[in-house]
Amino acid sequence: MKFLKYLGKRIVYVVPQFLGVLVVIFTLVRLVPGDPARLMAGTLVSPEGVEIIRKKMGLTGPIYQQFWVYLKNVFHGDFGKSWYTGNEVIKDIASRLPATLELIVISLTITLLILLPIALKSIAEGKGVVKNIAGKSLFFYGLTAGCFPDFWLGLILILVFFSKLGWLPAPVGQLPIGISTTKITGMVLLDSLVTANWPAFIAHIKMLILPVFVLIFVYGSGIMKVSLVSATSIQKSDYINFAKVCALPPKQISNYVKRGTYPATVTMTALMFGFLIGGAVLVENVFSWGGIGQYAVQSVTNTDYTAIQGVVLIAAVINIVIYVLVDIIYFLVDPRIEKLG
Amino acid sequence: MEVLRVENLYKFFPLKKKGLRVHAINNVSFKIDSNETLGLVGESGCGKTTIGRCIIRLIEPSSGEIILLGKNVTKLKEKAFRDFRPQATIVFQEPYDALNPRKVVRQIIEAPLISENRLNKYERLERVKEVLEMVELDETYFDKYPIQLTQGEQQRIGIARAIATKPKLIILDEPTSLLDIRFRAETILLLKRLQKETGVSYLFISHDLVVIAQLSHRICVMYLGRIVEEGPTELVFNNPLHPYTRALFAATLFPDPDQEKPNFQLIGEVPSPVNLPSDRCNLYQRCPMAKEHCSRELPMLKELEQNHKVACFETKL
Ligand SMILES: Nc1ncnc2c1ncn2[C@@H]1O[C@H](COP(=O)(O)OP(=O)(O)OP(=O)(O)O)[C@@H](O)[C@H]1O
Ligand code: SF4
Ligand SMILES: [Mg+2]
Repeated sequence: MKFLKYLGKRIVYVVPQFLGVLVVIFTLVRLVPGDPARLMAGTLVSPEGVEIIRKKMGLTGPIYQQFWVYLKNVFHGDFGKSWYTGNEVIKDIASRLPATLELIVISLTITLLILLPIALKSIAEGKGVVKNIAGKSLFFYGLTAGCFPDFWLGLILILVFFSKLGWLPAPVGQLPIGISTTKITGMVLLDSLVTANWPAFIAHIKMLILPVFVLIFVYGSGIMKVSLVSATSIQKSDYINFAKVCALPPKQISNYVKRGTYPATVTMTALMFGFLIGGAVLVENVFSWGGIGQYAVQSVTNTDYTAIQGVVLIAAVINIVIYVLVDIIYFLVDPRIEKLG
Repeated sequence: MEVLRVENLYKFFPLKKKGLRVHAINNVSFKIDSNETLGLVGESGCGKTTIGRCIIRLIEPSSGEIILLGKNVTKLKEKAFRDFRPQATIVFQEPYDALNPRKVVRQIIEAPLISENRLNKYERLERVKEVLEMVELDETYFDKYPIQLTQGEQQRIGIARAIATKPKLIILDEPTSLLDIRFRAETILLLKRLQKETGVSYLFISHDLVVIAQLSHRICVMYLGRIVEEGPTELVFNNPLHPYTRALFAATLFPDPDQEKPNFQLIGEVPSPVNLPSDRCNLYQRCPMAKEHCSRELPMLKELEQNHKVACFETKL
């Protein structure tokens, strides 16, 4: 019951956030130098033709009227047409977004399930071989993670594992040429799994290895460091000291520490998720992933305004949704929030 | 009856750079009887917290002996020391940081009881209720999280948790210094009353002479990890003898309008406790009474009047 009340309250906040995003996108397109309609039309279209395009883009009439038209269109799922691909922008996005989401979700999941436990192990109380190895490798990782740009690392890995060693397939997208899946969710991993399309499943995993590795290596370190800082400060806190003074089992104490790091970890992971929706652009490009990031780059280079608006809007919506999810997770893992309402 | 005796305690913290170490505690000895409060006073960094933490084994001493309830526990393995854990507890300086933010009051106070494993579930709950009442709170606090409490209440929970296992000794590490001024007096009074009711002994750590005087029967004045003066609170307050103590008194504002302001000052700042020399008085460079001799030998505690000891060559009664 309390949960529903909280959820209700939280969702009410989404409305102004969403409107804010719409206002920003709407204004930005009208502030860009040059005439979007003219740009879109290209050089060969007559002034009358440009006028028609302008009308179609909702760029005529008083400003409040323009905003009203924009709102109506957005709520009808009409983001306009991309002049470059010739498709409805919403369809373009819908067909590319799952590929990006898959990449991000897999990378972040592995970060949370593998990298983080190792990191926490490395600062655990006491001694041990595992702790030692974890500590040493993380130290090395910490040193290197910050200094490689993601696209560079991607290119180097392609050079080594595809060109030189031939262990991994060519970076031509989500599946090698000649293999395909039935499209259900648009996430190849899921689609091939539910249709029991094992050749595609295995081929896809091979394609995933390098981009996922690059994303974890370059972007996982942020999450890891934030969790580690949080964990070390909790280890020093007096409530942990008291737990030691009354001789609680070490297992229980390390659980206290682990649970104490959840808020920081969740926040950082959410930030990363939001960032990577657009931030994995270069990795997507290097591996020809065909996701939303690649679409964004292509739209920018082609000054495809409608497409850019669409991508920005979707990215913003995903971010809003993520933050609602984060708050829900907080609510579930942190008893303090419930009490404060 | 003697509850705690500390003998020739040393603690060094090695620093990153080879050969350097912080001399946090240098040859400290004292004892505490039952129902007694020993005040440990000195400036920030003089080693008060480190002493308290050595006693309850949050820190491993470098050398020296700790005799708890008549038993030398220095060399005991953690497993054997477990039996002593319920007997010596601690109240920390920062009330909120000391309480697990994810546990409710009942769980927080119950934790040491569960670990002690002497009472059954029902008895434990009774005991939690009982100690809550002893700190002037009640059952309505059972399901509250620390963040829902005032600072004063948080510190009461810290105290309730510390007395839950009926310890013989409680380390009070500046339990009032971070509290809002309105919670300080009530906390001191509470601690006083609890001592009367339970006969517990306190090692009361503070940098504040005014607070120390309110609770302590005897006090030890510390400078750079050493005790420089020790005696019954009355004697030390009426007649501070060591130059460091006198400077400390001169720098303290007592809530007494008639107080004569002694003018006694040291020169310069507290030197670094890294690789502290032990062949001279550590106050030598700062002391207005210093003689050449003070730079060649370390003064030991000497009894100048009944139970009043001072570590200084030049101080005469
Ligand atoms: N883990 C540690 N590593 C290195 N040095 C330490 C460590 N803990 C304490 N010290 C040093 O030991 C000395 C004594 O510290 P301690 O905390 O016991 O002082 P204190 O009297 O409690 O001071 P305060 O009034 O600030 O609490 C200080 O110089 C401190 O810097
Ligand atoms: S021993 Fe000498 S230097 Fe040390 S306090 Fe006494 S007079 Fe001062
Ligand atoms: Mg301290």
